[in-house]
Amino acid sequence: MRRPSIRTQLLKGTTPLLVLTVVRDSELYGYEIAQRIRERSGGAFAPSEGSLYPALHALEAEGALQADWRESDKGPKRRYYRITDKGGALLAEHEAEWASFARGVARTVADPTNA
Amino acid sequence: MLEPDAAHDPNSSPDETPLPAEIDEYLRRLGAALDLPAHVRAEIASEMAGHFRDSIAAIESEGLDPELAAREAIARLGSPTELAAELTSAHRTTRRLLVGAAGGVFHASLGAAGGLLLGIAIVAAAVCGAAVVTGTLLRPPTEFVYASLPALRAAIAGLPMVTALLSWACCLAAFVAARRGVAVSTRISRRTPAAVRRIWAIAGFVTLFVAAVFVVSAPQNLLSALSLLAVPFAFAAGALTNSTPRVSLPRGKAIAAICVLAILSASFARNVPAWSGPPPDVADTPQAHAAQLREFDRVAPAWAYVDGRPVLAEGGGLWGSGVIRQAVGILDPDPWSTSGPAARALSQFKDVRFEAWRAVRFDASPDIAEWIPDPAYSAPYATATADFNTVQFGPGHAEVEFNVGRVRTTEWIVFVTGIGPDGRRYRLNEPEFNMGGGPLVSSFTGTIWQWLTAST
Repeated sequence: MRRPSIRTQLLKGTTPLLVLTVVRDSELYGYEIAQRIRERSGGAFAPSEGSLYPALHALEAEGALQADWRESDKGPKRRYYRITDKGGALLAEHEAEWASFARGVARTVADPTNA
Repeated sequence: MLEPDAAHDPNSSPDETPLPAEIDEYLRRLGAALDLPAHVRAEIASEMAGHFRDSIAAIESEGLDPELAAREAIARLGSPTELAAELTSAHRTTRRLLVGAAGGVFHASLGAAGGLLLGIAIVAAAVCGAAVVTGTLLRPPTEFVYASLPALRAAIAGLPMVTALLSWACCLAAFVAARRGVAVSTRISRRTPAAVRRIWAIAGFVTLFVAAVFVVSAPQNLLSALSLLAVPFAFAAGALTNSTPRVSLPRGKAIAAICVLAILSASFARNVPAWSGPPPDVADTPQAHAAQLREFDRVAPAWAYVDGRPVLAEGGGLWGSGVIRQAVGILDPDPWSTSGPAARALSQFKDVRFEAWRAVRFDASPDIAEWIPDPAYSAPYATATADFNTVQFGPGHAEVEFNVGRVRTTEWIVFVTGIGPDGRRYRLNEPEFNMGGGPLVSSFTGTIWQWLTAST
C-alpha cells in the first residue's frame, strides 16, 4: 500500500483553515473555492475535490459557513458559501494554531539540535 | 436558505446543458449512498452537478475531449460511495441532533396544542351530534332541551366519561404532535426519516404509556382506561405514519367524523343513563316493593316500630367523584325532637351504624328497577357510627361520608342498622335511595395502574 505523502496529510488537516481563509474575502461556491486555493498557493496545492465538499458541509453544520443558492456569474445556480461570525472566530483560532505549529516545524527542521 | 427540492434538480434549469451519462450515473450512485433526508440528497446532487459542469468545462479548456473530461472530473471527485459516506458524516453532527430533538419537541408541543384544540372541537361537535341523535330519537325535543342537558351535566360531572372524552381529544393531539415532531426533527437533524420515526415512536410511546398508566390521575373505568391507553398508540401511529399522507382529506374527514359520532353515540347510550330514555313512569306496586324488601332481609331485616313505618327516613344522598354521602333523620313528626315514638324506638338499639354496601340492579318487576346490596358480598364494604346529635345537623339527624374513590365499584347503598332488644341486627331505614330510586354513584379516581390493582 502506498504511503500518503506529507502534502496530502497536511492538506487533509488544513482544509478547514484554507477554506475559511479564501471564503473570508468573498462569497464563493465549491469549485471556485478549490480554484481560489490553488491560485493563492501559486499552484502548489489544492484540496482534493472529494474532501472539499465534506469539509464545506461540515463547516456549514458547525455554523462556520452559511450557504445560499443563487445565480453564478456563468448563469446557472450555484451554492455560495460565506463565512459567519462564528466562522471568523474559528478562522482566527485555526490561524493562531497553524502559525504556532508552522513555527515549531520550521525551527525543528532548520536546526534539529535546537531543543 | 434552502430552496425547494425541484430547484435543485440538475435537469430543471433550461439554461444548463444535460450532463454526460456517466456523470448522471455517478450522481445516481451518490444519491443512493447518501443516508440523509430526501431534500438534503437533492441539494447535494444539485451542488455536485454544478461542480461537474464547472470541472468538465475547465478540463475541456485544457484540450481534453468531452468524454475524457467527464472521466477526469469523476476521477478527481473520487468514489461516490466514499464521498457519500463523508458527506453523511459531515451532516450528522451532534449539534444538529440536539437541535433537531429540541426543535422536534417544540414543534410537537405546538402540534399537541393545536391537535388538542382540534380534538376537543371534534369531540364537542360529536357529543352535540350524539346528543341530537340520541335525544331526538329517544325523547321529544323539548324534553331533551330542558331535561337532558342538565341531566347530562350531572351525569358526567367528575365521572370517567369525561376522562374518556378528553383522552380521545388527546389521541388526536398525540397523533398531530408526533407527525410534526418527526418532520421537524428529521429536517434539522439530517437523520433518515425511518430512523427518526422509530426513535420518536418508541420514546413517545414509552413516555406516554408510563404517564397514562402511572401518572395521570383521573376518574377511571374500563372505557376511560382503554381511552387513555390509546393515547400512546396514537402517538406511535403518528410517528410511524408517512409525513405526506395519501388519504383524500375530505373523504378521510368524513369517515373519521362518522366513526367518532358512531362511537360516541354508542358510548353515551351505554354510559349516560339520562340519555337512555326517561325512567319508566309506572306505579310502585306493593308486590314489587315487597319483593325488593325481601332482598334486603338477606342483609338485615327491617325494624318497623308502628304501622309498618321504619325508624329513620333518608335525608337525601350526595355523591362526588370519590365519595358518597348519606343523611338520615328520625321519622317523627318533629324530626328535631328526641322524645317522639321513632326516637324512643331508636334509643333501644345499640351499635347504630351506617353501612355502605356494594349495589347491584334488581328488577323487582318488569317495570321497576331497584338497587339492592350485591349478593356476592356478605358484609358491608365499610361502616361508620351513626351520631344522631351532630353539631352540623342537630338532634335527630345523622350524616356519613364514605371515601370509595379507590374502589372500582361505582354503585352503592348506604343504610343504618342497629342491634335490637333481641340481640339481632336490624335495618332502621327503608331503602329508598336518592329520591330517584337509584344507587349512590361514585367513580374511581386515580391512575390506570391504581385502577387495575384496586379492589372491586
